[in-house]
Amino acid sequence: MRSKDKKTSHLKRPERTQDVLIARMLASFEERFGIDSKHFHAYRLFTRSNDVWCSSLDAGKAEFPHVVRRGLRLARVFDFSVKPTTNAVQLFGHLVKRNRIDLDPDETRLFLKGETQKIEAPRDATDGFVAAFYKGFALGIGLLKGENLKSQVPRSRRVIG
Amino acid sequence: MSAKRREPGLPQAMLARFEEMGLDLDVFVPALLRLPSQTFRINTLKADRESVLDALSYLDPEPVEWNDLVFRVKGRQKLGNLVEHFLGLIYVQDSSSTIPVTVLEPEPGERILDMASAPGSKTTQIAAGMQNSGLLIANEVSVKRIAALTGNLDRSGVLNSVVTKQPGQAYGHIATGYFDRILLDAPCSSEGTLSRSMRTLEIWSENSIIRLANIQHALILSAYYALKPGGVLVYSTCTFAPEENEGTVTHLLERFPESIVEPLELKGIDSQPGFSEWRGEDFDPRVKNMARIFPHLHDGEGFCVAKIRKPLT
Repeated sequence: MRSKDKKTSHLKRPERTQDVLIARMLASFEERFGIDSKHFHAYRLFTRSNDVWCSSLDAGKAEFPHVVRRGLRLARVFDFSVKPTTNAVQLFGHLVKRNRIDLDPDETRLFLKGETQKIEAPRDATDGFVAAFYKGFALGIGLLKGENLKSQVPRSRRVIG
Repeated sequence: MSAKRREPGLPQAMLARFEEMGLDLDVFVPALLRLPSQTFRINTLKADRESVLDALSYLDPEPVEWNDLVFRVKGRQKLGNLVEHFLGLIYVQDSSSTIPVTVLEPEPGERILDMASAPGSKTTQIAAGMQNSGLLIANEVSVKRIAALTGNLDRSGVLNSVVTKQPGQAYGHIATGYFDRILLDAPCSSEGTLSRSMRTLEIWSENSIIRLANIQHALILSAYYALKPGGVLVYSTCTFAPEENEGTVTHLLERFPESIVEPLELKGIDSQPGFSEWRGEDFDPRVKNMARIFPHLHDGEGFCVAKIRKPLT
């Protein structure tokens, strides 16, 4: 057994039904980022595996053959944490009230490359997932640990040039 | 320039066809092979027009006349590397490619089908027009192209899409009379995009034009069946071949004579009417309402667009 598993092996694995995963995601969005769950009432939330997805109400209920996917993936729900996607933060970032970090142009460049960097985090930001911003626009998710910010931009979206 | 004079890279048969279309090859061919000005479209799903323009003011973008969300930039820029592109605030899209959805006029809350949607430039433009509400079916038959489509839907923040993978021909059967609007940006011989990629020439031939026209005939009928009474179908291609443009629309009009080809008013675009005949074959006179966009008359790729309405009764 890996050491990480040893640490958590005494904890009971949370339930993973659709309702539970969605409730955990909404609670995490509210607690970590201050996003009121009422903002998602206008959409349909559903799960695929451990992911919570979001679509318009009509797109959520439309029945068609050979559906590949609907809407946009909001978050991955792990046993003991919830990780919002870059796309979700970019779309709903304007609702983020806490654990937000504003980056300057140089920091933004590194963030878009997917790198880890030392930053001066605001006092109210705590270790864990944070929303990174540039000129008021939400860039995506970073993982804050002390003064290190690790970009969570997926490889396929990174801007290297 | 005579079609017999060899233009580097372009097949003799293609040049002969352009000449038959009445195009002056000395003017038309250089324009066809020259890259048009770069254009981008503001994605209003992510931010409002003014705040994006403010962020991009250093590019000195110039609005086009037919769509107040589309802008030209001077010189060649790496627009795909901009933070604003990463954020999904802009979509880099050729100016001509923005025309079909401008003509489609999507509205919030509607049911809309994009029958051949990859890579998603027009799909994301439709979603923005719908303000992420209603239902947008983004269909794509090629599994290879779906990754590009979903990537662009994600970057643009589209929530009202359902991506399906099946031949567009199926929609006439499975969703008869269902959609308010349909975009059929049909697979075509892509003659209008030669400035971007000469790979088109690898598959181009007179036979391939006939083969594609046959596919388009089936697709346009399927799209028409899937349309509600009173609904709008926009048919577009990025090719000049009359068989794939006026020929395909004439095929629909022969089958459904009651359908209406609406005249297009494209502000600021020097477009040409559809051809009335090709190689001795007369087209339905209503195809004159189609708009042909040539790169020597408009700063953009070659395109052809038709707006067809299904009557209420």
